[in-house]
Amino acid sequence: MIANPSDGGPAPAADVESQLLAEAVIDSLARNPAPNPPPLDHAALWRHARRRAGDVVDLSTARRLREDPVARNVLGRMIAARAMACSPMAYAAADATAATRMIGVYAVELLPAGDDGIAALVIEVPAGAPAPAALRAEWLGASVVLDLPPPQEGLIELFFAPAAPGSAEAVAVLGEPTALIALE
Amino acid sequence: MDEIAVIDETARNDISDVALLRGLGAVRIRRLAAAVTGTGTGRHDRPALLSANALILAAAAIDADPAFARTSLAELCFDAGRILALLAALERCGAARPATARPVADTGDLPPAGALVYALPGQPFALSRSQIVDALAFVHFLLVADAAAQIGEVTAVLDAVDPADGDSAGRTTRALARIAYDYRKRHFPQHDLLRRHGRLLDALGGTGRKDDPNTRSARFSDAEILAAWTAEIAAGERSLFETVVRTCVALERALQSPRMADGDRAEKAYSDFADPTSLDRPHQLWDDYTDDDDAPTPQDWLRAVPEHPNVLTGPERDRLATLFGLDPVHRDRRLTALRALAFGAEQKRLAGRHGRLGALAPDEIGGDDYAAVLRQLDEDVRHLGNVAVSIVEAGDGPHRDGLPRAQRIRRRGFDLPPEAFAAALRPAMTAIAGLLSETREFARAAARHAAAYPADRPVFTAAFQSLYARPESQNDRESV
Repeated sequence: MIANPSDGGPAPAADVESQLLAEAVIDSLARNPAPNPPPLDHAALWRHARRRAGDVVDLSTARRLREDPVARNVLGRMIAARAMACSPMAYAAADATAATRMIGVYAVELLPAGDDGIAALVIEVPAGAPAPAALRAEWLGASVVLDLPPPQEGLIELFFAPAAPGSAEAVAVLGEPTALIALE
Repeated sequence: MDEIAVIDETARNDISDVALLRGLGAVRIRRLAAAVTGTGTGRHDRPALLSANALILAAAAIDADPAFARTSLAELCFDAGRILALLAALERCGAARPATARPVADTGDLPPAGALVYALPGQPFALSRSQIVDALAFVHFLLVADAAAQIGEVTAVLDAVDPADGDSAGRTTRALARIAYDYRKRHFPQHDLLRRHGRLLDALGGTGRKDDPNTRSARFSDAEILAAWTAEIAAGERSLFETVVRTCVALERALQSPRMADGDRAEKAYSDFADPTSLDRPHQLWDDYTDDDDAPTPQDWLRAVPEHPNVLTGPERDRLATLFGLDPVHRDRRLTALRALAFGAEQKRLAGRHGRLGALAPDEIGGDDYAAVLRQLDEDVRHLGNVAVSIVEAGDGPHRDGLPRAQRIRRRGFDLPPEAFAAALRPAMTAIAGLLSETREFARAAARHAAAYPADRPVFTAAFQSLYARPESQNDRESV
């Protein structure tokens, strides 16, 4: 029984919850001031989620994302909170030639490199839908941010020449069926 | 310890993460826990009010200061390391002044003399440094709680913060309070009950009743019940008047319960009500203390009245259910029963409309005159009497001594052949007769309270206005 009505009126029952919660937190912090793993650094994660194309990836954040599923989950929600459309999984599993997914109303397809070695990303923008300006893809700490050109006749097309820096990684992440892809 | 089981592991971890990342000390951790559970002193939406005002200050600093160019509010909330820079920016743009006015919340740490408080011109509250630190920690918590499950809603609120708009603080407060309330509902489902009962017990126990053996068996008076309800409303609760009446009756039953006839019954009753584990089942608690004898109550009678033939219409049934649902108040506190009939029903209607439509225009708020309520009850009595006579006539033929002739009743089922009609209603005869006499007795005895209406009306309308008639409903709905 928490209440002891004989001193000073009925117990302020409502305060019991927060008192216990606070004591439990203080107690566990006192016993274990540096928990392992350390708490997620939300500020760093948010900076990662808001990265612009060309910004470098913070190495410790990338490692945390590789190792910690909770961190990936939080990052996914941070990205989704700011994105116009977001999908954590390919619509259909990748087949031999293409990985396709619907992200919101946008159909996103990665055409793997053919004979010329050039892979292509095609985003279908339906009439009336706003055109996304950027694409983010995250997969186990590997991360890609691409600025998208304006759509031509309802299609945004992006080509990845094998020689261009970073394009091999971008194609690898985009082709991963369990990568999170968001359009902003 | 048993009590630790009450604490939610996820909530504890989320708070301790925020505390570690922001370097909060024990005092601040307590305040954050109180904000999260909504049990701080004062109004339970005060953490949201503080945060809304702190966010407006932060948004103003971001707009005014090049050091914060390209910084979003969410980023600022995550990064405790930039609070000093934020305060400096506010000082540079003239939003700081020496503490003279009382800050928004008297959390016990009023700023020392000469310290700065922060407010934009025209902002109704000035915040101390400490309050800004607390407020941003609270927003940080809301952003990341439950693996950032609500981050979309919270960032939408942050996006809508506009220091140039005078209504922005109010809108942000309500939006944050709603998000915090959703969180509490998920993590501390008993907590809302605890909070309300705790305050109600304070209001009722504060009269010295508990310690005074002479008043222990006494009832809560009409005035005490009304005062307890208005105290709830003034504390920012939205409790229904009927709920408060119900709790009062359950508590007084508990105090008088024969199970506690020896000695410490009042203590036992109070601690039963203050015990969190007994409060997750308020209805059971109510039953525990109310079902002491097996005599049929008016509620049993009401349940026994069949729906076919349609003896009672929906509004009639609702009215009688309200009246007898608060048994025994209709016998010994008729003014409270009248208040429940006139204003309790009105509060339910307003709360329902408010939930669907948002805030209401002030002139939509009213409540029936007690005289009108009593007229309706007289009408119900007359109708029930007519039904009773019809049953007798249908069973025994029309010529019984001393009974008025039944008037024709045009309702579903009343055109059955006499035998079928009598067979259908004969089993409910006792119930109908019981309802008839209880209602007649109540209406007769309550008539002398009808004159209380002019005095009660302003009390209830003021409370309803504060609950349901808020301005700028348009914007409020958009931000939902």
